[in-house]
Amino acid sequence: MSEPVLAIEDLHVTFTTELGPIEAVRGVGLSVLPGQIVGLVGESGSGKSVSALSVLRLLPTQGVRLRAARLDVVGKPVLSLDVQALRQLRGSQVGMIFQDPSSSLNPLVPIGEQIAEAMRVHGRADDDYLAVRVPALLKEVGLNELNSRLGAFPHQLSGGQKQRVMIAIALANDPRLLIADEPTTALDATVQSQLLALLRRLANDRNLGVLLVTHDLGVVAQIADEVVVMREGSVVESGAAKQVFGAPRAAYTRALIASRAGTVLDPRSWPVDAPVLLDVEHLSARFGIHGRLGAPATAWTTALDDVSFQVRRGSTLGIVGESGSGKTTLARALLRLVEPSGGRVSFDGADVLRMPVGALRQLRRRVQMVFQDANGALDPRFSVLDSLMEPLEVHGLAGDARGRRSRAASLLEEVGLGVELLSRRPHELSGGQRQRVGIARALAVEPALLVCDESVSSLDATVQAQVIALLRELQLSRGLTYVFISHDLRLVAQVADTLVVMHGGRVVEHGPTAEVFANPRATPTLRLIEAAIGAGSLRSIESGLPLH
Amino acid sequence: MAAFLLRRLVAAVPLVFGVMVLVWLLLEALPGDYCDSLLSPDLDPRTIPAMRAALGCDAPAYGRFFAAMRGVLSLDFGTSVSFGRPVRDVVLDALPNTLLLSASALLAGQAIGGTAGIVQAVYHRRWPDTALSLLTLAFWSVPIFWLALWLQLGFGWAFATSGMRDPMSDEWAPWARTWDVLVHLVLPMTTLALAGAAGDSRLLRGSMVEALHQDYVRTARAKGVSEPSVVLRHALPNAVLPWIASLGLHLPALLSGSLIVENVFGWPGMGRVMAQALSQGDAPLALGTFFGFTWVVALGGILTDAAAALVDPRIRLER
Amino acid sequence: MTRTRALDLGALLLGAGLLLRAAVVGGPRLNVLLWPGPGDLHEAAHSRVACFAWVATVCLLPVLTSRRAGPRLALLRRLRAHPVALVGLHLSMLIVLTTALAPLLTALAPGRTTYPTGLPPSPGHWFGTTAIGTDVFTDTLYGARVSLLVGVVAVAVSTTLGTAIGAIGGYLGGWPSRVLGGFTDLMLAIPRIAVLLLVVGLVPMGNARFLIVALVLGLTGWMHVARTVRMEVLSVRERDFVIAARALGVPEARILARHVLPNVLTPVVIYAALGLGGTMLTEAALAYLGRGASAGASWGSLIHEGSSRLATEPWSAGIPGLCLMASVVAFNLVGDGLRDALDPRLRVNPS
Repeated sequence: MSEPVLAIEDLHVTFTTELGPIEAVRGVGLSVLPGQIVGLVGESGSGKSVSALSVLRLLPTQGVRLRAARLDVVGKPVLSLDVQALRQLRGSQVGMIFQDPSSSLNPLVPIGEQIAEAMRVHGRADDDYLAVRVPALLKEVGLNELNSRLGAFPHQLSGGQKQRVMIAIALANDPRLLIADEPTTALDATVQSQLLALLRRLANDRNLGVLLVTHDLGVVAQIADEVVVMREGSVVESGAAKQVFGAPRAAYTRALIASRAGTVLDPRSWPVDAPVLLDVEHLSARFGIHGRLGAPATAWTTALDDVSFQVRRGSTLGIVGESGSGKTTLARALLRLVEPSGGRVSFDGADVLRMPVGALRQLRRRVQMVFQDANGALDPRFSVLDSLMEPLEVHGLAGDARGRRSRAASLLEEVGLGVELLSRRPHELSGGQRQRVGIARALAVEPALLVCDESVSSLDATVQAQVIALLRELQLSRGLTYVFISHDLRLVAQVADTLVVMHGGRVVEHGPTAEVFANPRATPTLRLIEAAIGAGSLRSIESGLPLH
Repeated sequence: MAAFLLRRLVAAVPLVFGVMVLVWLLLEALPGDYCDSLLSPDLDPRTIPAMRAALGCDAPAYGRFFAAMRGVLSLDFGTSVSFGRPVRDVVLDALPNTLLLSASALLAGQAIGGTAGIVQAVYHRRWPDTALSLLTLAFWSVPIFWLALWLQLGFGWAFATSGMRDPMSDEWAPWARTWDVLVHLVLPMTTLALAGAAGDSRLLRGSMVEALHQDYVRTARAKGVSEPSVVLRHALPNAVLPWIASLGLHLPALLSGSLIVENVFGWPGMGRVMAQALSQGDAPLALGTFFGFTWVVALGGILTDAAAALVDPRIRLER
Repeated sequence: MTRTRALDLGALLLGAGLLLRAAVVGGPRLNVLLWPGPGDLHEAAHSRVACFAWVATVCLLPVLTSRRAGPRLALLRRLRAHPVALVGLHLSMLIVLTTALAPLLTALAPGRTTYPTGLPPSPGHWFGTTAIGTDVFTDTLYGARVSLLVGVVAVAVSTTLGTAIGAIGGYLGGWPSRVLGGFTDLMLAIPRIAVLLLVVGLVPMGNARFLIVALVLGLTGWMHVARTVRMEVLSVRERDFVIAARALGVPEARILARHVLPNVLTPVVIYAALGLGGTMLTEAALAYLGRGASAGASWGSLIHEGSSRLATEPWSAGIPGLCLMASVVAFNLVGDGLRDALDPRLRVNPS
């Protein structure tokens, strides 16, 4: 039995804020053995990142109090180290990588130098040694092709490449422990699995202990040996991955798994012979890259290329694709919020793209959009009531002011929120509540078609499940038709009966959900399914858990 | 880089021209006639008709426009009545003095302000930060001319501020001339530098605090980089970028400041020339000096952009 | 109506009632009550009542902001959390108050040269007198009026102009945005004092001098506001709630007025406060050079007059300068406080 490279017992982290002291971490304990990958899982606010940052004392020194019964890293008690000793520990015995590689690398320094610096700082400044070591590291993390471009700057690399550079920096001095704080969250699904496979390989080859912090159970399921589940600062459950997924003891863990697993391959019936509500034919959109001051565009970027599909009344069409595949442009084009350069969109027989302005206003009542919350879908200065009343006022619905107020209240109830929220501002609501308000606002004009553009992507897993359940209920109660857009195939598969896969502005796959999963034809589809199923491999581990 | 500078230089010409047109429009739009200022009692009455003709005073609007712009386009504003020499010569004599004052004050101010800003950012929200904040607030709010007066009172006995020898004349040995210029430079430069440092310090403090909270600083600490290195080699180069970008915006303010300071200390730069010209009713000279000011600002802007491109690879590599 | 609202309303009514009573009983004109001139001293008795009313209303400000007085006063309420900004706020209010009530604070007349010359600060003359026999306290108080008014008018002009140009440019995008942006950059290249000096020096202006100087100050000071507003509008334009409003069928004009502008006003307010100080300094510098907004005494000209006798009579130039500096400090503190309170980007969170 070897010594753990990381041993934490009873860790407490308290922040002093304007509102008084807040205990972000209450009595957390875990350990990491050499060659072992420990997944630290929790939703936002669980304290997992704070715990990870505490290991190397990387939290701000002002207003933060750290105490623990034991916080040993490769045998050394971190809390009692002086500044010099701590500095020597960081980057040599322990490497750390962070969530957003774009902002975690110094934009002004070439990548070769950033990797070399990790070694220089710990006394190995010999140029010959570095000239050999840096390329070797890059090769080990799978970036052999960058060895001829050591002078490249971070902004010239892709997200996946930057994260691998971060790993190379972290490994430069052969550490015993690697701490990874949400390393894959900012990356695309396919890049994600590659990076996780790399971490697994490194752990095995180097006998490296890895503490992997993430909110994504799928990530943990892919490579972790041990799992620690955190909620609101405390550890809710911990143990071997097979055991935690197979027989979770805590109710919270069960809820987390349930919201993750979902119904990936659950075939839903859809109204086959319902009339076609939305008909998209050969839709194309090109945007010019403008030159300086009024010069005509010389280069074009194609956002949509010959996209065609149909949506039947009462059904749900899912549109999946990675970032840059054109799905957001498509969503906006359907509502004519951007002008496509070619093609035809017919809604209930009417030609959307050639409608005069007056008819367009009528269209706005029948087709609505639910946005992603991250970019502020609600005006921060408007109360919930204001946001709900605005569409009613603009279209002259629900009679007078009193009638509109009561309509707003009933809309809130319909999405499962209490009337007391009417006077609140967006920043006083949780993410899930904001999304529900967004849905209520879209429903205010009584649309027939709802376009959901990444509507649940920025929510925690458990909240995602709740909002998706709400969307399903509303579809039944109001007879709505959905176009559900996301980069996460697993989410889309839970609601859509027909699937459209997009890649580079084109439709690469189109058909009933079950069929697409069973017989994928295009490579992008395959990759998306792998990423989704890899997450869904939960199902192969757990047993007997009732799925809806 | 050379192509970049050339391009910007060429672009500066319409800029300066545009400024002169705007100012001319302003002068025309205001009630009162600037031609009447030529009735100053100090002027030789015989020269007035010629002056009025040169300024196009009796011509209709477009005539006056052409008369005014002729000076701008040909770089010849005629003869200064108060000095008796061509306007261009007077302005060109005064220009190096203004440049010397402004440039030295800029550098000194940056150095002082920059250091203060870094100290404030490192000790963010602790007593050195608060103390320096109060100090910068004081210097930011003080009237420059008032500060100049007190400095002159306090240190004028050591650093003379009048009767500076002409740097171009051959009467004295070069080193005597240089020394003389430097001694006279101290007080005006210090005044300008102190006023400018306050603004620089506030700016750099802001961008340093932001830089120190960036993720790459956290990465550097996680790598084991020592704290002084983190501040000076990781945070500072990134913090300097917005600082340099805003430098171009501060040049007009700097020149305005130098105008005031020159008049308080009697430094023979363009600012003092302009004030003298106006008190003598010497319109051509006043306009010519203003033209010179505009060019200095435009050139300063170009240099600032060049500096920004040098420091930031993201701008450099786009070229 | 809650008890809190009733209390606040009652206090306001009391102040208004006192004002009304003074107006009815005393019979003097309202403008005399609020902004008495030096010749209105005989009506000062009634003015004292008005003074009380005014002070009472002004001091109610902290009372009003400490309770849930509604979202519109939230701005002021957040300011209370920053003690430094509060100091600035109270200092600013004090300055405005003393400026407005100048004749009530000094029985002497401004500009009169009949007082004993060269007196240092003493009981009869709080700030001393100058070599030509003017009372420094009186002149400083009345000089404040010029400096303050010029600043306020100039900032009003520049803020309005800057917001309009920035908002239009930012919202329309495309070539109007580029043209307006280019125009802004053009104006930024002009050294402000040089233009002002040129204009005031060349053009004889007579009675309109105050207005013209204030106007030109405003016309040369809008650029920073415009740039910031333009940036803000450009970023707000891309936010989902604006696109959502469009998707909901809200007309463009309403989007601009109800969604874009209110979210953009924060930096405008900050700039207004900070710009006031800078404008006052610029005008004082002009006055020092003899080309200020007023042919009469203002702080800048007072400093100029006292500058030659700085060693023997430091109070004649020193005190007006100190007052100017104090005013600018006060407004800057308010501006900084507003920025700390309102601009979330500058807040540092330990999450």
